Amino acid sequence: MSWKSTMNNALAAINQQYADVSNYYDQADLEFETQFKSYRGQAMTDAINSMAQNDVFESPVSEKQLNRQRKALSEQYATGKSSLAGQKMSALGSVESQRINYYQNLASLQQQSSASKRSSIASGIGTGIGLAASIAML
Amino acid sequence: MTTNSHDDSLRNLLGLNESKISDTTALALGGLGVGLIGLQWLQNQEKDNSLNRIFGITSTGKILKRSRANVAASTAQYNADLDKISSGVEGGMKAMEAREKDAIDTSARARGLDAKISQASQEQYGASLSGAYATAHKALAEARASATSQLGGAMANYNMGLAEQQFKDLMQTRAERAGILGEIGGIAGSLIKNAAERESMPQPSMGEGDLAKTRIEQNIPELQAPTGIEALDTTVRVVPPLKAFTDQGLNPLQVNIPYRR
Repeated sequence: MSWKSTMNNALAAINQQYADVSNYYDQADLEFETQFKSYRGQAMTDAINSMAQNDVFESPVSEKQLNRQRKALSEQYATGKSSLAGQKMSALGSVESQRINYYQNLASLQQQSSASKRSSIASGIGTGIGLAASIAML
Repeated sequence: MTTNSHDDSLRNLLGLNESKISDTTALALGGLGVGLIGLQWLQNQEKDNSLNRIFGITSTGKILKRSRANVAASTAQYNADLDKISSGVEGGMKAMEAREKDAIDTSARARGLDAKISQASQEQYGASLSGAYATAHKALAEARASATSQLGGAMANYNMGLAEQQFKDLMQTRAERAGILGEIGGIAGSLIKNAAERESMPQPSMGEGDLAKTRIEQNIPELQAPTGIEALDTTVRVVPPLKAFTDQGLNPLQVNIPYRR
């Protein structure tokens, strides 16, 4: 396998990794939404049941209590959602760094390959000139 | 007169009077010409990189330009993805707020509370969300700063790597140029040296005494001027070089002609 196809495979692997990481966190986000909905539903049911037991269910005071619960849940949601988003940013950043390193290595290899070709051609030309000069001196 | 003209003929036959000056000068000029052509080629090479163009080699400048374009496109895509992630969190927060407000209204109605209470409750809830939004924004800003810093490190390494490559390429080009110049100089020098050596090499010469001595030593009879009908023959006759010897019954390979050093 030539170095070019190896490098192409490496780029394909990095791109695939980037897509995989992105998909993984998208799935995680969906999972978080589902779990949070379930958690929230359970938490609110508990709060309402508690209020019903204390006979404050139908009073405006109950609304304040419920709102405190809602606020706490919303903060949890914000924390969870932004934490996941931050992890996704960081993970994608790692892959992106790999991709930048890849482009650096690719440029280096391409340059070395060109330099090698140029060097061998220059050497061939030099040999040709030398040979021609030797023949001319005979 | 007769002897001198025949001696000259003998010298000409033996190729002893042939001048080498024109050949050596031509060699020296050839060497200088090769050098000048080489220098001209190198100058053109620096301007339009003709070697790369002729042999289809990608130049370092083009490689680095393409690489920078790839990196720019890649980081632009990454930044767009970060924006999408941030807006995803914002959208999630807003959707959650809307859902909760709906839930407040539904819950208040179900419990038989006044619509004003429901509205006040919704407003209260909305105001209390500033903390949640702040938390989300802070977390996102920190994550983005961290990711950007990570990428900034990679970009710094990348740019440093490219600068190193450019430097190496410059050094290699200089070394190649110096090598080619050295080769051309060496060729030109050896051509000139060769020409100078040929110039200074003593040319074999043959004096009148030498020829007479050789004739005596080799028992060669003195040539006589043609007489009779032969003298009237004015047509130019081409005599093969060795005929003069064979006509005399001599083996040309055994004739030893001394010359002064």
